[in-house]
Amino acid sequence: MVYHRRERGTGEFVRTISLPAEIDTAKVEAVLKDGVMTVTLPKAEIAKARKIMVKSKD
Amino acid sequence: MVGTQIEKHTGELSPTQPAPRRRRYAPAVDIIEKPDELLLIADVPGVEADGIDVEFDRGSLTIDAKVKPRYDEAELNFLRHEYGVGDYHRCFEVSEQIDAEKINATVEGGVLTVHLPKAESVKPRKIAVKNA
Repeated sequence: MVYHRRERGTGEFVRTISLPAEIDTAKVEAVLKDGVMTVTLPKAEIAKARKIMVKSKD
Repeated sequence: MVGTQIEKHTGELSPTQPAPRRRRYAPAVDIIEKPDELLLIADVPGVEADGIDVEFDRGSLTIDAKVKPRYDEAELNFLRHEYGVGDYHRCFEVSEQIDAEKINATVEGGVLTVHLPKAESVKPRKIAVKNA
């Protein structure tokens, strides 16, 4: 076997990323398709923006 | 004074580095010669089989691969945007005599593999020696 070109790296992928919001870890999902991984990280309820109903004081 | 504050606020919201624009990429390849074939392996993440065009014409091998957009980039607020999404294109001159009819290509997990069998006339051959 002779390599005429050898440009591709072979190995494992490791990466750690700090996230800017609290995550609902139970609902995290990861999909791997065609060599592209998509991780969906739903924000925890506590981190979501919320509209507060303003009640009138009778 | 108010104007300065608004500008500053907008600056914080915009991405810290310019987002890579959609363009065409030359995929990294390995080309391996075996006794009976050339083997080309290319990294083409995001490509499906029906999006790849492999053409061999008079010693010239062309790879064209289309990648579907992953999202509407204008609509999203990227926290990081390091990876450029785009089509792949690359061309090679093959000096070896190839049996063009028998070329076959497969893609799996974003890795394209092209088998280019050598023409019979250039394959190494063992000759059986008969007793006279």
